[in-house]
Amino acid sequence: MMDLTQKQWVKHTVFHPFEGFEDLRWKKGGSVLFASIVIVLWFIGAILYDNFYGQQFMMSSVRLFSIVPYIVQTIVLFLTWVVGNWSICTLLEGEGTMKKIYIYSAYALIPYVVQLYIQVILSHFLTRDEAIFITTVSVIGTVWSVVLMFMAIKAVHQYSVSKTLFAMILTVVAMLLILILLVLLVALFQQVYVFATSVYTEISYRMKV
Amino acid sequence: MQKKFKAIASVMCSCALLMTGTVLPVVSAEEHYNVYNYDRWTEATPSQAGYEAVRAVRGTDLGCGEMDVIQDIFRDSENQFYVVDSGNGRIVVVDETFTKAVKEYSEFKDEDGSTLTLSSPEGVFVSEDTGYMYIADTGNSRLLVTDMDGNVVKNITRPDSTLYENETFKPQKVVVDKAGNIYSVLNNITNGAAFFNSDGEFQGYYGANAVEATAEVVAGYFWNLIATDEMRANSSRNVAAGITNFDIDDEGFVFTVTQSSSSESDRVKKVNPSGVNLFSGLEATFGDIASMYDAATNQTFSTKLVDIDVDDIGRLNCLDMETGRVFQYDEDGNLLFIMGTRSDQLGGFSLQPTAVETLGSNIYVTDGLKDTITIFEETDFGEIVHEAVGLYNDGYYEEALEPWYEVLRRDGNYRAAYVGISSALLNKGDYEGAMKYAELAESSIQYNKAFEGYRSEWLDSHFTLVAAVVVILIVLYIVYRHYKKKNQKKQPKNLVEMLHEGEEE
Repeated sequence: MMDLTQKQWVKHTVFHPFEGFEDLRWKKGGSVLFASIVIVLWFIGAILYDNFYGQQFMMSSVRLFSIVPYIVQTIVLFLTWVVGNWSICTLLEGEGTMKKIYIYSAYALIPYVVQLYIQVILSHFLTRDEAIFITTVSVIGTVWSVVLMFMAIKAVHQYSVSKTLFAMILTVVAMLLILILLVLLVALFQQVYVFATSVYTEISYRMKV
Repeated sequence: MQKKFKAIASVMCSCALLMTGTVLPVVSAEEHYNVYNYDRWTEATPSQAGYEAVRAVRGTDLGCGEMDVIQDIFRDSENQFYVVDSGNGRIVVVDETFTKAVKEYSEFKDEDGSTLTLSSPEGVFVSEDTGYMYIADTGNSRLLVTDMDGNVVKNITRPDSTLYENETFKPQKVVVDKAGNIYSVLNNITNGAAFFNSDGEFQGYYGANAVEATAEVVAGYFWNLIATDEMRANSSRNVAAGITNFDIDDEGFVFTVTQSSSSESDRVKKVNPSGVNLFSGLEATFGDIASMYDAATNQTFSTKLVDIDVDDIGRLNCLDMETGRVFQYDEDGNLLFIMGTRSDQLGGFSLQPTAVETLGSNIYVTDGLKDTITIFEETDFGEIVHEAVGLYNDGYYEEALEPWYEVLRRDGNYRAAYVGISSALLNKGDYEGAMKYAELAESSIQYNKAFEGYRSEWLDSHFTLVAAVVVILIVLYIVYRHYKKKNQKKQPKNLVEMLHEGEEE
């Protein structure tokens, strides 16, 4: 029963929002490889969205392209979500492991990622008067992903509806905390680095004299 | 990125064109300051000068003796200039060519026969419709309405009205509309310009600024909700800056400027007769976009507009006191040129430039410390831009094409030219060219128009191809489905599909 390949599991979870993830958990399906592919596609899609959108809708005024913001907005954001959710739900008697959260969340993002690509493609064929089609695609994709994400978290931890909601809100708080700590850490290391380099410069000057 | 290269390449091409000297009479004015314009990303870029300072006129050049603190200049319908020589308490009338003083008003005959003199007047207006001269006699706290022979018709002093709450009455600037209604900017009044009917009766205020909803103001509002009376008494009130100066155009729109470095939204307003600001939806920033830091004098300059003038074609000229620059905009608020600076040379102004006026394409700027009137004339480049902008704004896109190309040949950074060329090509039906220039102008809206045309043209000419591709795709899909079903029948079904089939049955 339900002996699906990994590829079929992806399709199954996306098109069966209400029992897909439960099935996935029951049959211990899901692959890290596919989840990672989704995240990389999201990353590429975000870049395409900002830089290769149809010019009748949006002129990109990027003068100096930097990849760092895109990494932060997609990959880092996703990893923070996974870590934040895992830390919260471990305390809230959730059953999901880090790996499972990673896989399930990534699968839930698929409609959103697909929607990015469809938008970029459509934007090259439509005019501003027909922007409603693009908006529709965008709204459907986003809402679909939100529903999937909710069901994914619910399934992976075996929570009730209200507890899932509660856990998700706490996850966002945890993400903020993690990001703040990260920024602090980076700033601290920068200070250490500056200190080290200035000591080195000072010594090297003394050595010369 | 590619876009950027294209833009740079096109600029380089136009430069190359310029250098190889394709029989272009390249006449560029050599101003002693850096002439600049703002580009698409609101950054200052070097530009060709559209105006050139040709001479600075002193009182002695006009044969009326030195002037002392010139406060205002006004041109009437017969092209005579009225210069307010504030320190000497007189109005000097200068001829059209600005070479000699024609007349001088310093004493006025009151209705009862007594003589009135002016005390540091700051504004003058001559109305074509009423035939009177209106003088803001600031030092004497009154507005004088006189005929052209110097007989006082009306003497407006502090209004005895409950609407007028201020102790003082210091009219500084005055304009009059076609119906003879008088508008006057008063010192220390933030309610807007005082508004008098043609009989000189105070009617209320006109064109007041709004308090900008900055974070501080919003926070203050909520704080006030919970503060005690004592705390409220000690807090400062948020009052909108009063308007500094104004001008009126032929259609009765009043253009106001506000000399506030903090408020950007009300810096220039176009107020209709019912008091609504028609520029409120405009995205443009008037004056310098960012304040400028001068390392040599350790000073920061931010725009403080002191005067505005609407010329006969509807172009706006705004005078910035802080930097001594005149910013010229077309009727829709698009920047055309920036001229002037703060310096001692010709074309530069002291700390106190006071007023700006136009005659034809000339611009006249008065300086209150140098006591000169500087005359700017249009350069060749300015003339071409004005021609192109004029045609474009009147809807003659195709006629404007040649002037726009000429503008680009002289200044490849002039963004409006790319939009103009794109519009012209669009009108001609050259959609691809229109798309290219819209891209160079980075105007998404313009690109959208061009793309729409391009797409429908492409669909018309490639209809058979499109139809064929669609049919082939559909056939392929049906074949694929058929083939897949055949294959699946041989394999054991999985649970999901079995469930689905169960539902169907």
